[in-house]
Amino acid sequence: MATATLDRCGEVLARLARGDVSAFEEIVQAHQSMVFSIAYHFLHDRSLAEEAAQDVFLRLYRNLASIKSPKHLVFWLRQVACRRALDQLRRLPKAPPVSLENVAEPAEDPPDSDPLLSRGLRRMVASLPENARAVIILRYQEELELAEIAQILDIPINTVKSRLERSLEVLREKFHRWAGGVAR
Amino acid sequence: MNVTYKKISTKTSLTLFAVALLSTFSLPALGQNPRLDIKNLEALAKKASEVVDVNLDAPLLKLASKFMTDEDDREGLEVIKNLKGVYVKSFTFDKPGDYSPADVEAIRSQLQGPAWSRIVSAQSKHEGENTEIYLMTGADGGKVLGMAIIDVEPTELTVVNIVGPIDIDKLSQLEGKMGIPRLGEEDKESSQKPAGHHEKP
Amino acid sequence: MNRWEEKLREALRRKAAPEGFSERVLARIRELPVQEERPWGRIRSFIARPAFRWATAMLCLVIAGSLVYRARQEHQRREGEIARMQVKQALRIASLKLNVARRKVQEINREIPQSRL
Repeated sequence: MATATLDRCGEVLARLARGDVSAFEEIVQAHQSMVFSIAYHFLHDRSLAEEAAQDVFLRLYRNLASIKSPKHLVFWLRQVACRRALDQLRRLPKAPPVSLENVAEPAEDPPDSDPLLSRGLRRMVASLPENARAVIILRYQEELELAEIAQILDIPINTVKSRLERSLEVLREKFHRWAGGVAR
Repeated sequence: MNVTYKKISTKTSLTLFAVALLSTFSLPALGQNPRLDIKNLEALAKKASEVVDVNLDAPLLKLASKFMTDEDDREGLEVIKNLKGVYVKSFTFDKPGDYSPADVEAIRSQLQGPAWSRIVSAQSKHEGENTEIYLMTGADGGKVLGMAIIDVEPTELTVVNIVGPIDIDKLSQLEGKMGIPRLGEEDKESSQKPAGHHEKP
Repeated sequence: MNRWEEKLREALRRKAAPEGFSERVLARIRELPVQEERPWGRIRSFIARPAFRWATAMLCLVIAGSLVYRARQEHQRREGEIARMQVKQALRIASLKLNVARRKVQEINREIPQSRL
């Protein structure tokens, strides 16, 4: 996270600590994309993802006293977003997920260089086991190092590493089958 | 000479061994126990105007010794050091005849065995008093295993039973110490009644 | 990162939250029960922490344990005092009777030679 944003976040946290509730809206706006995306890539359902993301912010509001710093805030949001998405996923009936083709993409998202490939990859990620899914999302959406992922998911770093390697293998295999070609 | 050896079965030899072993650990002095059965005297409590009832087994003696830390208690501690039990029943009656000789005989009969030796018998027929002191010693006649005192007076009956290696000389030397009056000073005893002493209303 | 991972990264790029998301979050916050917004909600959240609860539970155990220990010690002290008094009483009686008997025997022994005379 850029230093300027962290500083701004620190200022907002300080205002919240003084009882300025309106500062909370700034926190939501600063981090809603991150939280929503984690939930969305996990669940592949916009309404479920929004519900999970809203819950994350509500929990944040209740637990503001436990937030020690802007960095801690980001860590906390990522961790709780993963957990909340996982909870939501486990509550879903064991029906096949909604096809990506029916899921509307927001217009303001920057276009992918290969939208078809991106959609396919997102669907493949959604089909991974939930623990592996979390590692892939935190690695490629949030671009976190293995140690950071291990901390957020509260698992050993070696477990992160092995899940990442296996997931990438599985994704390649799925991609080969989907594309009928070799991915480089 | 023909010598015939009869083979003893394993079971028999084990039984014999067990018996021999048990004999070694058997009750000392030809099967007698230094602990007397003085429960029959409890019935006298109803008739007595004063009762002293002390029942101190080994654990209680050990507990008591932890609290006998005064200078005054030092010699008493020395006396009870290795004892296994101290039992006292003492009754004071309003008038003579409130207890029967049969009550005393039930205790005395336990002291007739070969293990017990009466070392003192002081009788005063005129005053109707009799004090007997018995000691139980080990098979070799050396080590003291227990002691019994029966003190009979017209309006008082006291039985003391001490289990363990009591040193009579040390016990005797307690006179004048630990609040134990010297003979002749009994009348000047404090009226405060310690634990074990019950005065009937 | 290789090309394959770059594609994955692109596919999993952050998405914008739906329109009006922050307003909806704040609306839910405003619906929260009043006490949740009070400052002492922080105290409650502190008390709800597992570490605080564990510490409180341990403290209670320690206090209860020490109370039980002290009660036992007191009970033992009382029992010990009673036993001590009983020992003194028993030794008093035994010593007295022993010495009375011995004195009587000594008196009798002193009398016998005189009577023989």
